Amino acid sequence: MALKRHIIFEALRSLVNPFTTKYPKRPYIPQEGFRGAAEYEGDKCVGCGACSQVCPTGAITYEDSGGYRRLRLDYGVCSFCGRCEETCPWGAIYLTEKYELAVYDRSEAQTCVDIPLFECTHCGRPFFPSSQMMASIEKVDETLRKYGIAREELARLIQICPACSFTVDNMPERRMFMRRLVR
Amino acid sequence: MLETIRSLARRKSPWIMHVPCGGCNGCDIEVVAALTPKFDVERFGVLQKGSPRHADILLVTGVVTAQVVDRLKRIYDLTPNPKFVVAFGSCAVDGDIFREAYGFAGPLDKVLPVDMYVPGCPPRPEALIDGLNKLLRKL
Repeated sequence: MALKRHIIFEALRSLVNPFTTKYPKRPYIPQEGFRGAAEYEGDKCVGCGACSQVCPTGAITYEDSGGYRRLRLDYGVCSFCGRCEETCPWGAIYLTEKYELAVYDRSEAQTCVDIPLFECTHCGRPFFPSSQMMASIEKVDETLRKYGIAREELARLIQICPACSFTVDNMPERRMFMRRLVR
Repeated sequence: MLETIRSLARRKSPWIMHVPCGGCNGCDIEVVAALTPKFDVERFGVLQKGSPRHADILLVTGVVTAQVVDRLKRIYDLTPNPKFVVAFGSCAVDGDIFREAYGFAGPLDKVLPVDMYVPGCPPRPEALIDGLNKLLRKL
């Protein structure tokens, strides 16, 4: 008898306050720590490609074309693990709380970010994301001051693409620079 | 006139058949969760059917393995027209972590024509409801 009273109480309670979610009418708010679709923040990303290296499924790929480096995250391959967010040194990729990812076409299930490439000062060929160059010079700034090297000096050296930097004209300058570091 | 009634009936009662192909069963659990009173897809007339002959929508979860390709094609042929295929979960959409595995027989759209892609690993039951809503809007 006691059990039956419990059931009737439960039924009356759910009549007033239904247990079913009202999802399509009212949006669902995910709990804290929910891992939804990852997204890029365009102005923070420097295009280093660290996210593509750690991605366990290979969902993040990048290709250089037309003076831009395009980082592409494919939601169809992504396993929403959040390694990219952990690894990104610039905090440019982060997991959002988006879960409504249904699309009619597979090619729509992706997100992209374009990073402009730097052009080599010798041959004019784009070879390296310019924002990554700026960021990396900023990082070694303190060390440069310790060795008494001007910022512009290093900048001039790394603004030359790998193909040009090992030519006869540029080798002596590079060698002198290295000698100052190992002194 | 008959056509209008037919399309209305189709929109009000899309019966699904759940085809688990392979993989980790995470998506299967989410599909079953969507059928429970908490999420209750029966609000939209969605019923889970055990036979492809009774179904309108094939809900494919998991990676399409070399073993399952023939069976998947047979199930697709058994489904009466008009039929729709939903790729549920990242595995079915593009292969996810099993993309480079030896038993992987291409993403689902290499085997069957897919009408709706629901990425997620696993997608929430809400994502399934959202996907079905978008699919029914297309009818």
